[in-house]
Amino acid sequence: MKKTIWLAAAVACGTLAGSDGVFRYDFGTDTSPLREGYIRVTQGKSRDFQWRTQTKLRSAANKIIDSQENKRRKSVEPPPVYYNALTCDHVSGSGQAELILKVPAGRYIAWALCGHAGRPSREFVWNVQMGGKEINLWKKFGIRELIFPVTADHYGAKILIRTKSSWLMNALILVPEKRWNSFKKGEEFKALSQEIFILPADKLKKWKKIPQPIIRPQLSVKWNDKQLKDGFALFRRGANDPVFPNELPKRDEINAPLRCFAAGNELESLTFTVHALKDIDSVSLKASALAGPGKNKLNAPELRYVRYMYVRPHYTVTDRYFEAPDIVMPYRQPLSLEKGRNLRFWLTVKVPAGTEPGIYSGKVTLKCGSVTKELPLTVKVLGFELLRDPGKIYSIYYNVPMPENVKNSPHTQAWLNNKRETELAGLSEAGFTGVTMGFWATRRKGKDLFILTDNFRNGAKALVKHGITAPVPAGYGEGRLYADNMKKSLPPHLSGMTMPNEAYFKDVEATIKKIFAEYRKNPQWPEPLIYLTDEPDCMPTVVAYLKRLGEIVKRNGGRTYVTADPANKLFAPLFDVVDVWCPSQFTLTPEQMKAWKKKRPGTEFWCYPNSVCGSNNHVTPAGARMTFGYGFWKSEFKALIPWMYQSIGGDQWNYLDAPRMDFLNRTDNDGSPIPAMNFLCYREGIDDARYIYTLQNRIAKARKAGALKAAAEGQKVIDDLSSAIPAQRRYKDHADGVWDTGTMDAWRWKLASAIMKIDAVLNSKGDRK
Amino acid sequence: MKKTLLLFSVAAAMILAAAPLTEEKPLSQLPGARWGGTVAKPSKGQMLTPAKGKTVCFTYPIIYDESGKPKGTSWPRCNLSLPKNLRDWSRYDYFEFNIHTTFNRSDEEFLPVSIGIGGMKTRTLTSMNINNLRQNQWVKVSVPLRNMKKNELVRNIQFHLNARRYFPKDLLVLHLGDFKLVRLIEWQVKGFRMTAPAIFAGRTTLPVEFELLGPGNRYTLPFRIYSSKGGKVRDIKLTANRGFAYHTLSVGKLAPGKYTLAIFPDDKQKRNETPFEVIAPPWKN
Repeated sequence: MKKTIWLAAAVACGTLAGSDGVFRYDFGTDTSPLREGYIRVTQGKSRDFQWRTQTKLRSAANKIIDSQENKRRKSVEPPPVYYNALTCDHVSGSGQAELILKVPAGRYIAWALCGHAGRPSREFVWNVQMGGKEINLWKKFGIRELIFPVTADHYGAKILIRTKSSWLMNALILVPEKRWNSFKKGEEFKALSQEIFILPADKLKKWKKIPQPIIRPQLSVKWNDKQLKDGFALFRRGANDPVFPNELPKRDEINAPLRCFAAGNELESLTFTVHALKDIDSVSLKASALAGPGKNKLNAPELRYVRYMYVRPHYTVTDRYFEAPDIVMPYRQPLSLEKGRNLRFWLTVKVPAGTEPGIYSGKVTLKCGSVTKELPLTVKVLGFELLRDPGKIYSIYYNVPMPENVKNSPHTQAWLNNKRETELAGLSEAGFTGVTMGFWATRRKGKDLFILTDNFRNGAKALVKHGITAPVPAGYGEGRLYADNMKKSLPPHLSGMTMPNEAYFKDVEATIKKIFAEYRKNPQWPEPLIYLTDEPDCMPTVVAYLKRLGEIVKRNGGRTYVTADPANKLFAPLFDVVDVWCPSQFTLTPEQMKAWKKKRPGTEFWCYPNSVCGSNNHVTPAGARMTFGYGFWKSEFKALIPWMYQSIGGDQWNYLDAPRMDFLNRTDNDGSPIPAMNFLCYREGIDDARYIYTLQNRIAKARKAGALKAAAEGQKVIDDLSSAIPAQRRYKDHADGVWDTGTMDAWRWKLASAIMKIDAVLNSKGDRK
Repeated sequence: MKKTLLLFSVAAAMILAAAPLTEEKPLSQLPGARWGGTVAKPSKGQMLTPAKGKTVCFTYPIIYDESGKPKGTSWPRCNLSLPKNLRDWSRYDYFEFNIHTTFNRSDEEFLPVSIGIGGMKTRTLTSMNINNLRQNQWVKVSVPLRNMKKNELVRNIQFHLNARRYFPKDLLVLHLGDFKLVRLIEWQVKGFRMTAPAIFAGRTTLPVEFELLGPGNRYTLPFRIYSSKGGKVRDIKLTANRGFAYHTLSVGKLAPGKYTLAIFPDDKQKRNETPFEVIAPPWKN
């Protein structure tokens, strides 16, 4: 009897709360903010819900704030994320739990929101499994949705939650299954999605959506009857030319064939775009393996598509955004496409070393709604392999994941390990040979000097495993040591800094000694380049400070690195203590660098080309390729080291939250990398440079073999290329003379043709004098 | 007679070689205009411009404090606030003036002075570094207005420099004058560029960019493609709106080889050309 009364009461309450048939739950503490119209769910129980679990449940809440103070910059900034009543709080558990919601029997669709934990500070990956789906939540901020069916019986709806570490839930909405499609298209879902995944309405009002920066003239296109009947058109554009969400194709792009050429030991990208002439519910894609000469095959290409994101025109802007092509997502399931919008597919073909040259053919099967199209896919494999220039370094600012530092969470360890392995493998495959790391010395508990040599050791092991062995710009712990000794922070760019006390310099010397003592014991490590400081001011106090630091490093047998412009005469006192100069542009000409090295041999000139890393513009794919390829070669700089591999402020899938915009690569659910378009264009640029180096290698071989005519013809191609590339300090976009993809590909083919011509001569033993 | 004809031809050639026709609006004598400055205070200039106009003088002393920071501000600046009747710049292509520089250090590697044009609503409508200053010389500066929003009024003109790039005790003295707004009234193309110096055969378009300046709103431009031997391959016309834009030029099918693309091919004054190459593609069709 009691049970019956309880059940009736529960159903009645549930019905009241879900008076429109939809049940809304806000998870948190007894006193945390409760969204209007939502039922409070805590770790306890009530007439609306009940937990069944063997493990302890917790609830927590974060403060809802509109801004935060940046003490270092002395400014007020947006918070990492804008919490609301739903997202600021949650219930969590460290083991399996079952949530019983007192709702009428029936079939529902559950929309669960999990994330924005705001804790812990240490590395931790939450893991939430519900409804046959699984999400991993890395970092303190980031919120995800899980959508799955739930069937309620007379006890209610039972939702089983499992975890490999700990789980958390912020909100849950149960919608009757029959109403789910209309709910998803309705105002509540749209408004809530915008509030949670973009910005709250009152904040978004202060932002202006600006036009997509489409520089090509948008000429009207006359669609033919077939295209209108099918409801879509297909077009092809070079991988390094962006396709904006609503951009129209040019006439010669429509139905252009899907083909490319590639050498051995190369990855090559091909893209094509679906432009919707009507709403399409389902767009799916398959690709076959490619059959070549004899029984040779190439594996089916990797399938991805370009995700459009709201981006800011510069990473510090907080009032304007536009929609831009950005992240190249793995293709896993059919996608929907609205009328007037584009869906760009990105295929990557891998041509291993030793692949038999010839034409390889396959097909791509595209299904848009009920219309199926087969597109021939052709790859011309060239008869040589691309070489890497050992004299050049492609490095990148990178936070090496450290699973070794994780305690008490095997799942977090495994996830971080996968992140590290897959990211380093991806970097190596793209042609990168270096990253940054650090020793991060500090005075632990105000007493002992503590240097994270274990971090470097573990990181170095992982780097070497993946062939990433270039010298590593390594932070020694400047900020922490300064704060420990001076009881205040270093100002940004050291602007207006106070010269530190002698105790600081003693700590620095002790740190440097230790670093190089460790390095001598571990010669397999990549060489640590001591990172004096980042983007310093050029005032006299700063220069005097850096000079002292440089002298410390030099007398302890190390080399120094600084992100500063050697062309700035105010840095003259540092010329003898800096080994690696790294400005943000190619500020010295090859002649100036030669003259410099005559006086100071051993000096290297690196560059951090931030104009194409996404920090100030996400849509510079052609500039990214030209910077990393033709431009870098022309500059004769030693290394490129863009900042940075991955920058995340709040939620990695929201570029409008946090004080500064995120940029470059993202992370998939399993920790593996999801590349940004700019990053894939770096790889294309690196390959352009490899074609140049491979030809130079052949020219040298031809000369040695006495094939002087062939060598001279090859050299003419190199000389013509050098004349054609404009000498620029940077190669960001058209204003800097950046070529379009067609030109970069045409030059690549010229280089390839010259390589094959020399190979033919060398193999035939002709043209010897 | 021959001598007279020759002299006449030379004179005619000199006239023809003169700068394109312009409409100018002087801003030099500015009733109601106010000069102001931070660190760099304006004063009446002691020298006259090359056109015998009055000047305003800005003296930028670079002073550092004990912490090694530039005193006062790191961005000493001076600005000219415009009266209402001089704020509408929408009809003009350039803002021009003459600038004379005196610098205490003898090396002439001046760090740039920057100019910004501020709007009534937008803080900076356009800006530019003035990179061609010369010690003890007058230099003409021409600021293109193409990036400015045409429908926004101009509030002020500001000159500033980054004091952090100068040594302590540096002294920079600028004299400025002959301010004017300029509009070209003869069709001209500036900044002509073609960013595809190599293309595969089969591609029938070339990307070109330029700024079109002139009396009206639209103009049909003549282009010509020459072969590597200098022979004409074909003529092409492109109609463009006044202002800066990227265009797609239809060039038709071209066989592999080296070519030159010329704009205004028959006008010696305005002609500009750029080479490009058509490369046989990896594919047969």
